Amino acid sequence: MKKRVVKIKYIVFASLLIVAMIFIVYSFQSSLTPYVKIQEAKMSPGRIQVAGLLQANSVKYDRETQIMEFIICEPEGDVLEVHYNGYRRSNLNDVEKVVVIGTYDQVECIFNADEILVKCPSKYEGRLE
Amino acid sequence: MELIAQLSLWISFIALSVSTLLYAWQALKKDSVGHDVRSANLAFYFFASTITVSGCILMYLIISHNYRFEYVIRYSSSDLPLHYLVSSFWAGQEGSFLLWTFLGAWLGVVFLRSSRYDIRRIMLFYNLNLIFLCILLIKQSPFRSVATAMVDGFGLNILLQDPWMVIHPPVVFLGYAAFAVPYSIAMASLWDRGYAQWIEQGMKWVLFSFLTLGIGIILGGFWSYKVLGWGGYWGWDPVENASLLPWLMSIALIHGMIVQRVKRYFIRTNYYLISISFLLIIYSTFLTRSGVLANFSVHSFVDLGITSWLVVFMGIFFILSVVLIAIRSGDLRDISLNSTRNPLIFSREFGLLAAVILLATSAMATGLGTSAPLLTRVLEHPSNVPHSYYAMVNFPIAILIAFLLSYIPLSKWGQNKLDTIKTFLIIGAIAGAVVSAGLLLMELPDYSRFLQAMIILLVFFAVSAVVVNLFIVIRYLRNRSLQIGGALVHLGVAIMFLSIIISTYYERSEHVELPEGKPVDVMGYTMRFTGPEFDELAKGTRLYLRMEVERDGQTFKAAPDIFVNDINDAQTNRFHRPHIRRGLLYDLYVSPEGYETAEDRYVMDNTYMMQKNDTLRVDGYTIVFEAFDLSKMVQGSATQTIKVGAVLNVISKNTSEVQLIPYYEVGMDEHSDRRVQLPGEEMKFLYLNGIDANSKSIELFYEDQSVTIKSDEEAASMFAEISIKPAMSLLWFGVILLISGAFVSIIRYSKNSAATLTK
Repeated sequence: MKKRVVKIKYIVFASLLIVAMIFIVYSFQSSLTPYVKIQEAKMSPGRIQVAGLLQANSVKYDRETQIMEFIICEPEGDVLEVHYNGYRRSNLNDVEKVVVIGTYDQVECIFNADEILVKCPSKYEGRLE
Repeated sequence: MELIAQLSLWISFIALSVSTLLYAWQALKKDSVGHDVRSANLAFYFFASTITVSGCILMYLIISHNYRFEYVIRYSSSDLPLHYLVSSFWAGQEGSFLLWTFLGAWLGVVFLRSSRYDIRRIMLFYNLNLIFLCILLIKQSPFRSVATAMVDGFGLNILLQDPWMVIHPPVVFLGYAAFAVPYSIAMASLWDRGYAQWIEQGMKWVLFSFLTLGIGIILGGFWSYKVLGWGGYWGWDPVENASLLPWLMSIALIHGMIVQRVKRYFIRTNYYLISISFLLIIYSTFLTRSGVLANFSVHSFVDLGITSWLVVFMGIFFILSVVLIAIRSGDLRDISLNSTRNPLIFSREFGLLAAVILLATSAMATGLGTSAPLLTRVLEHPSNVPHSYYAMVNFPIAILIAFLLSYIPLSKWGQNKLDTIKTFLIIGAIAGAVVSAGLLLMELPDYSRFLQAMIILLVFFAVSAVVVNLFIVIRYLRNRSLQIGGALVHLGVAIMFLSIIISTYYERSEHVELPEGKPVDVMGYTMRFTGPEFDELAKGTRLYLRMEVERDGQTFKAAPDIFVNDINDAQTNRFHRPHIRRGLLYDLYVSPEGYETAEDRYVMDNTYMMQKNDTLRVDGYTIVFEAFDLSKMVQGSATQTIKVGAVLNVISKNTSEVQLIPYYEVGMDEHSDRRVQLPGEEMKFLYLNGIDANSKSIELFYEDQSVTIKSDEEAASMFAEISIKPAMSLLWFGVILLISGAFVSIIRYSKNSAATLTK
């Protein structure tokens, strides 16, 4: 009798662990955001991230809709128009490289970013040229 | 000087190797009586002194502005005050490895002096870890010099010029270095078969590592809240996660060790936990120093060519741990069989088992997310995970931990009884219910039902955990028992949970434009931008946005600032520093976003980017960018002029099509070719303000001189994000409790006598 209780305890415990594992792996897989080139970005349906050089002075703000627009490009010449639904004035004007995360709108041909990463120099700075 | 400096590193390495060989020789002797570690210790002390000499040399080079050395050039400059010169020491990778080795050496000395046990095998493992650090240091020496000395250095990153950043890295590296001590104790105990002894010996060192790394993490969070202007204290950035992983694992380890100490469970588990904690330290270093995350972080990482060494380092310690545990697995199984299994569901050991599992799961899930770019490298596209992943997996774990915190501290070892403590539990539950009901009555922010339920659950358990642990703290306070340490930590953690939830999910923020001189109402405050103040500094300009803020008749001044750092002609860096008005209930957080004059705005509104064949319609003109005109480029060896024209076709209502070609000359700010007049009677112009070679586009500015900028209506404005961050003071209070509790626990376990064993 006692042994059975122990067994049940183990089964409950193991199944809880398995559920937790599945939950974590599932969340992990579903939140993976691939990092792609601009060319590929224009064909990707899901959430992606793209790195690019910010085109000088391309940042524009729409006061009414609070949408920020800018253009990023790759050295190969591909260009991507980005809309960011946020209002981070001036933060972008002087940076060179940005990473935008979001989805590409195939109809409007615009990348809708929900997150922008700006490279900030840190203690892990580059080497002397 | 370079010779002496490099020599000091080599001598340290040799001394350490000699010491290691001597320890190894002694360690191989069977019995613990007939050995002599005096010469090995001596060699170790010698190593500690020479590595200190290396450190002093680097410090001296920085303070004396010796710009023959690459490291000094890269991370310091002559205009820095002394305390920032000191922090230049660890601003770069090479210096921080030196700091790590230095701290490791002196921790070793402290351990040697304080330990009353047989240390030869422990020191053998400990030295092994230091040897690797020394190799990295020699491989990546901070003492490389350049051919011609420079006049001044590049200076310290402006973000790091903060008092908190002077102490944050040393504390983190102290934590990193400290983990090697309990790891070595654990590995040596496998060799010695001293499975119980390592807990007694190692506990205070695990606690010390936990405390120092914890303080380091918290200082980092405090700094990012105060300086970075990201608006938060935690961003799930790889660099932050890198310290969090071993820290979470060490908390799991502490709980496992407590169970082993009292109940003799978890002996094998604890060996795994300490090995994983230590390996995570190396793994984190690998993640942040190897460049694998280069595209996935707001920090910039650079591969210094030590990646392969770190992999080797990790591999060796992994194999070492696995092999040692495997060799002793028979022993470990026998011991575990002797101790009672299957803890009762309301006993303390069951709760601690659950805590260990939860903490390890949290560390693993967070580690999985942080490693995503590495794991997905084999796939077509490397990927990473957004912040929401970390929140999603850690939220349920936090709820369960808060739940455990609300009753486990009251439970008893080996007993399934909760009736003696029922009163406390009920009071805790009532308090939790009241507070969460209060939250429900307040208008909840616009979240999904699921998230709202999670918030309420966490608040419920966190509040009851606060109440329960407060009781326990008071009880131990009466008894004057050092066991209060654990209770204080738990109280602090419960308070932190509560404040993290409130500050994250009940924050309100608004982006505002504040025209100069005009009061604007923002979230119950009346804010007036009184004007900019420019402070010209050696390396850039600091722009203070002076404000007057009024609430309920009380007025105070605020001055968030933006630092514009000119790196070179083409590149500037901006640093936005918030102004924080701290309050008991909430902080007012003013994060500056920009400053604009009416003229800036006019230029911005009338500047257009065009690519080839793009059409621009403005004021009745239709302008088509046809092609670049490269005819004015001069490609001589001595006189090179990069002058590029843009062929524009312009059609207007009244005139026929005309072709206009403005020219842009690189390096020339003002020249007349840049401007062309548009057909028509009014004075309307087009300026070619820039060309972008990357995207092959031009920047055009359209100016209508008949329009004068109305100075009154559209004066200068500042832009800012105003946030109300509730419960921030509660967070720092919880942090202080956690730190002081950990201190008390270290004292308790340092006394290390049977008397402090649980009653």
